Amino acid sequence: MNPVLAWAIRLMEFLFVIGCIGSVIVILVSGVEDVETILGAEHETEAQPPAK
Amino acid sequence: MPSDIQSSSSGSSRVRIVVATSVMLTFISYWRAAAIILNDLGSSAFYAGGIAEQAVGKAAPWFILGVMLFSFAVRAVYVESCSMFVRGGVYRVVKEALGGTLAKLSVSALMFDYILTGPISGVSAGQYIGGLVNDLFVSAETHGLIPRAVHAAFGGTPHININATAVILACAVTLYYWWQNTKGIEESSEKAMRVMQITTVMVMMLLVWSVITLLKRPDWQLPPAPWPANLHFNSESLGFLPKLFGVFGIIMAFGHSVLAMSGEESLAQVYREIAHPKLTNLKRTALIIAIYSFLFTGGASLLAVMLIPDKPRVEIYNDNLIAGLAMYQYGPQLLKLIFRAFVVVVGFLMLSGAINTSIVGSNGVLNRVSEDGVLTEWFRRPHKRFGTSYRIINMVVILQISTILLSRGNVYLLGEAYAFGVIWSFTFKSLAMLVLRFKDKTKRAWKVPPNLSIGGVEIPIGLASVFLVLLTISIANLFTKSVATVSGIIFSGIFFAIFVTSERVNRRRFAQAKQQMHDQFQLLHQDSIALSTVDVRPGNILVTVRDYNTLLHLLWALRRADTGEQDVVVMEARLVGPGSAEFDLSMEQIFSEYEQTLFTRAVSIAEGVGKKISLLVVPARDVWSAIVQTANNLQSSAVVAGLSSKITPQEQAFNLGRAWEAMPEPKRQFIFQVVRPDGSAETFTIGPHTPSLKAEDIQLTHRLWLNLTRMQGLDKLHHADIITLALTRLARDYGRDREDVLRDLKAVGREKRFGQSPADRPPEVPKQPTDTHEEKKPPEPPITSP
Repeated sequence: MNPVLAWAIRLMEFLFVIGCIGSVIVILVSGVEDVETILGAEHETEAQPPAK
Repeated sequence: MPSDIQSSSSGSSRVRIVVATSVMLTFISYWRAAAIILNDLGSSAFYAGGIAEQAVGKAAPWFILGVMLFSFAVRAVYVESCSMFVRGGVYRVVKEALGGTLAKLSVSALMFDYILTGPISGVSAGQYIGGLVNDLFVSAETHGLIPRAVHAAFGGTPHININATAVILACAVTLYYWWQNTKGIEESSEKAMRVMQITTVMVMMLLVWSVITLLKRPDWQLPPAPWPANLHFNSESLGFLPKLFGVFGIIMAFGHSVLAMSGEESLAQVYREIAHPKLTNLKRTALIIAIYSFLFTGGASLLAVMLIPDKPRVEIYNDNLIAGLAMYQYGPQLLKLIFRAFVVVVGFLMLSGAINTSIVGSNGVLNRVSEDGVLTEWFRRPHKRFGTSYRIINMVVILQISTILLSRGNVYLLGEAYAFGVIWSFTFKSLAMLVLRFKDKTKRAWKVPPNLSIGGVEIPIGLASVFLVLLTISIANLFTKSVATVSGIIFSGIFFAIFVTSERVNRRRFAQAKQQMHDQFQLLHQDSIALSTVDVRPGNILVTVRDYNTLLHLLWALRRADTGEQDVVVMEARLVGPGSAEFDLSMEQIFSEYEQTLFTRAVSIAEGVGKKISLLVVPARDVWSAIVQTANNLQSSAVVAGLSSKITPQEQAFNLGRAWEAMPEPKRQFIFQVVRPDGSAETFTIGPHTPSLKAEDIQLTHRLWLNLTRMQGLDKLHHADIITLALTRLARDYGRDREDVLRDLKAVGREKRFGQSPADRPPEVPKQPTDTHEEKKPPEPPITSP
């Protein structure tokens, strides 16, 4: 294989793996926030006065 | 005091025009917003699994699930961009971060995505229908229901050419939506909600039934693990590359599955319309769509490989995978066939909806760039009759029909090309957001986590990670998706060239127009419309204008109005598409040559009758909503409109009334007058009002009152008490026997329409302050307050 192409492919693979690890962290951290958002929505509902 | 339109506050002779820069919107809940997005995003579940498996082999469902999981991270990028710009579509964000050239490139890629959404959805819907018809023929043949003559004519079991059916159906549905969009289709979140409700029923049935099947049939097996050794690329999915490379193969497989994520851009499009609290609701919307599409698109792809044997899955159900899934459930054949028909109906609803979304979205994005001076005015010149940007719609539909014909009904080919626009628009967007982290240090309402701070410098680890994944997939796709690369580059190149050329032409023309406009008009930007900003008194008359060839109603209103007592406001509701709602519009975007001609004629009419008018331009997604909101904000007593070329005055009043009902409190009543070309007018009252009673009804009330007041204890009775009792009883009867009451009311309505001619009717009682819907006024009535 052309050494430049091989080097470019190795670089892309490295960047992809790094990106995937970082994206998993994004999903986990924002997922925790999402759970808080959903719980927040429940609190909001509970806090509303009963309909007349 | 009212403003004198003939002289601005500065004392020059220029005409003063108030331009509202905020689009008048009706806000929607996060459930409705999610339904709108899922109509686009969820439709890919019908074809993504089959296309991915054809490209990478049996391990494809893992990559679809991976892409759907990754879409959780991509939506975080969209949430951050929306929190920054409020209206953060690709074009706006990339332009802000990377400049006009890359913005034009990114919007060209986005257009490729939007335009291909139509053909792939239409062809896929056709594949589902064609597949069902052929299977029904086979079932009928098995039960001996096919007549011999038909059997002989087909030389065996009757069948249709699925690809040809797909092409015909896709063209037919595209042409249907072309006409609907040319007429000015009303986008309805209600319709999106209904489609998603039906789809959810189908998805739940599919998932539950699949779990039962898995429990009943122990011979199922998971797809092979997503390792390079289990990937089987064909010559088409290898593209320009000679052979498969280790981990790079996984990137390639992701690239072939990324089309499952198409539709995320709609999140930015609907953000403006999401109700308060906006950011929280956007996050909820994003979470709903991510979970839903993960379960539906990812789940359906995985279950299809687990339940459908390899041979029929690859040979028969590759282009209608969910239909195949329905046929391989545990249970009687008839039940499975019925469920498959249900899948096809839901698929048709969603996929045909996606065709409409693609036309609406393309139209919106092109209108948006046109308003930004990147496309010439020629493209968005309104249709004479319908007022829509028909030239853009025609161009989009011609491109879509050409694509359908060129594809010859091959979903795989379309899917391969489709991914180009999807991935590149995401890549541009995430790059722009990354650049903005360093370029624009203003505080964000929300940021993609995690962010590391070293020596006061913030490193956006999360954002950079998402960008890296998107970038590597985009580059891999360039080499492995030859169809996408060649067609995508040609298409985007053509669009880019059109944008660049148009922008140059526009720049020259705009310099001249700006000078003319500057000489004639003084534009005052106002974020919102109020009495003080337009500088008129309460009780004014609002005249809506659109076509500069039909301004008779303005003349009609001016002749009857005493402008010393009552101000006349001439308003143009400037229709903007979903893409146009990305951010506040600038003067150049709103006040085009068209508006210049329109207001020049309006001013000329006002000068002709020697009366003052105030001019107003309001960008709007929905004309009716914009009119009622403006009338309410300006405390107008009357709204005057010309006769619509599409609908009757009654329908005009009905639409306006419906928009009025949807408007939040506080709101005021007003009179709506529709002026016909012959100068006659119909008057309606918008909002609750006293009905005008017929003379015989008043007589009846009076007779009842006379009888009742003779009785002991009822001498203090009023006429109004009788009406109150009658209405209370009607309400009670309506609650008990709705059908009976409706029947009687229909009979009354029929009698009113057909039973008596106007001449036969008894004379009406003296005029009430307001009128019921659809009552014709005597000729040339004065415009009065309700």
